[in-house]
Amino acid sequence: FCRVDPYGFERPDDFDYASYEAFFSRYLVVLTRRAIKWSKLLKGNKSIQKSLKVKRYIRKGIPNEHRALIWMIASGAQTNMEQNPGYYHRLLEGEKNDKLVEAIKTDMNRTFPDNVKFRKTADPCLQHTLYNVLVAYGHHNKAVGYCQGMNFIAGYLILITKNEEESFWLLDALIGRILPDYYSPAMLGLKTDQEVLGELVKMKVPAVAELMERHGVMWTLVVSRWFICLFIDILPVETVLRIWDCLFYEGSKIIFRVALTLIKQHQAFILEATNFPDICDKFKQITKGTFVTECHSFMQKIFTDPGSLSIATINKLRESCREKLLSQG
Amino acid sequence: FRKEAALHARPAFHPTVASACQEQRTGTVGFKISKIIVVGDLSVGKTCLINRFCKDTFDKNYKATIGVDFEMERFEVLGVPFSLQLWDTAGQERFKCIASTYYRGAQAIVIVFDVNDVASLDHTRQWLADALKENDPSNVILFLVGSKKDLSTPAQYSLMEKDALKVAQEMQAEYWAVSSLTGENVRDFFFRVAALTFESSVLAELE
Repeated sequence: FCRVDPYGFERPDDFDYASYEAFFSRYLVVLTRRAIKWSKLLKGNKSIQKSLKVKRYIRKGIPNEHRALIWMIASGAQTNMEQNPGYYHRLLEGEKNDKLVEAIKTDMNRTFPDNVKFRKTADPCLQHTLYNVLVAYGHHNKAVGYCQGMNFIAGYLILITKNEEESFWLLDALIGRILPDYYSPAMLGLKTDQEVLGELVKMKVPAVAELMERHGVMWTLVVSRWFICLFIDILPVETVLRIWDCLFYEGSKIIFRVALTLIKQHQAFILEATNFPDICDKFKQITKGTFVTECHSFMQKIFTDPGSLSIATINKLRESCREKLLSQG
Repeated sequence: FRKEAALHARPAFHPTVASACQEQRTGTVGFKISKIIVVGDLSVGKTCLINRFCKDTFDKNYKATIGVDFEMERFEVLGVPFSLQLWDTAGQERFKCIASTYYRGAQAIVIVFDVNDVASLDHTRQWLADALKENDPSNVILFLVGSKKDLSTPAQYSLMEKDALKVAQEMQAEYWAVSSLTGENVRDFFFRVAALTFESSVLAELE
C-alpha cells in the first residue's frame, strides 16, 4: 500500500499498514464477489428498481465502478438531471452573489488539504470543480446558500462521480431531500436530529445518556460533525462510502444507525470517562481503529446492533424534539 | 514561574489587574479549570492559534472548523495545577446557533481578528456581543487578538494597531498581536490568559 490511497488522500504518518493489509486482503474477496453479483444485476440495463434484493445488494456495498450510477438512480438525482438539461450550466453562467462566492473561496484551500487531487498544483485540480459545484448549488438553493461541511460532501461526490454536473445533482439530492434542513441558516433540522439521537441513546444505551447528562455534555459537541459532514474525516473513507451507499437509498435514518452502533459498541469504554473532557475524548476515539476500518462487518453491525429503528419512531421523535427546540427559541 | 512569564509579557495596555500573589498562595486549594472561548470571523486563524499553543504546530491549510471543538492545556501557576479549556468555534455565521450553547460559563473570551483584514476587526464587536449574551460581563476577562502578524509590514501593522487599540479600549479588552506561523507572542499570550483567569478564579474563591 502506498502513502496515498486510491481516492487521493494521504495516509497519516501513524497509518497501520500491516493491519490494513490484513483487512484488505479479506475485503478484496468480498469486493470481487459483490462485483460479480452487481454486474449480473445490471446486465443489459443501466437502471435499477427499488426492491428488497436491491436494498440487500446496496447494504452489502456498491462496487466502485457502479457507485456513481447507483447513487444517481437511487437518490433521484438522475431523473432530476435528465428533466433539467442545461440547468447546471446556466447556473454557472448566471449572475453571482459576491458574498456567497467569497465564502466558498475561503474554504477552497481548506477543503481537503490532505488530498493530492485537491492541491492547487494538481492537474487537473479538483478545486475548480469543487468551486463550480458549490457556487452553482448556492445559487440553485438560495435558502441554504453555502454552509461549511457542504465543501467536504461535494468533494467526496466529485471524487466518486468524477463528474461536475452529477456531483451537483447528488448534492441537491442530499441537501434538498435526504437530509431534512441541516444546512439552512437556522440549522433546525440538524439541531433536531442531534436531539433525536440523544433520545434514541436514552432508549437504547441509557447508561451513556445518563453519563452525558450528569456531566452536562450536550450532544451537539460530540456529534455535530458526524451529522454535518456525514462522517467524512470522522470515519475511514471506505467506511464513509459504504454508509453513503445506504444513505442514498434508505435516507437519513442510516446516520442514526451508524451513530448508535458506534456508541453502543463502545459503551463500556465511554463509561470509563469521569469528566467532561474525558467524554469528548472518548467520542473522538470511538471513531478510530479496526472496528470502523473493517467496513464490511461494520455495515453488518449497523443493521443489527442498534435493534429496530423504524422511520415512524424517528419521525415522532423529530416532531417532539423540533417543538422543544422551537419553544426554547 | 508562570506568573512571572505573564507579568513580564508586554501587554499593549494594562487592564485593572492587581497582583494578589500572597492571597493566591493562601487561598488556593484543589484543581482548577478555566473555560476560554475563542471566537472570530471565518478563517482569521482561531484553530491555528490554538494548535500553535497546544501542539506547537502550524499548518497553513488547516481544515475549516465545523461546529465547535476543544483542547485542554495543563499549567502550573504558583505551584497549583491549573487547566485551560480552550473552545475553538467555527467562524461561519450559521454555526453560531450551535457554538453559542457553549459560550456559557466562560472565564475568558478571546476574540480573534486578522490584522490584514479590517472587516474582521469591525466584526469583533458583534462576536463580543454574542459571547456576552451567555455570560456575566463583569465576570469575564476579555482579550482582543490580532492574528497573522507575519503577513503584515510594520507600516501596515502600526496603522491597524491604532484601530485595534481603540476597539480594545472600548471593549475593555487586553490587546495582543500574534503570529501562529512564527509563534510570535503565542505562548506569552496564553500564559497571560492562564495567569489572569487563575488570579480571578482564586480571588472569586476568596470572596
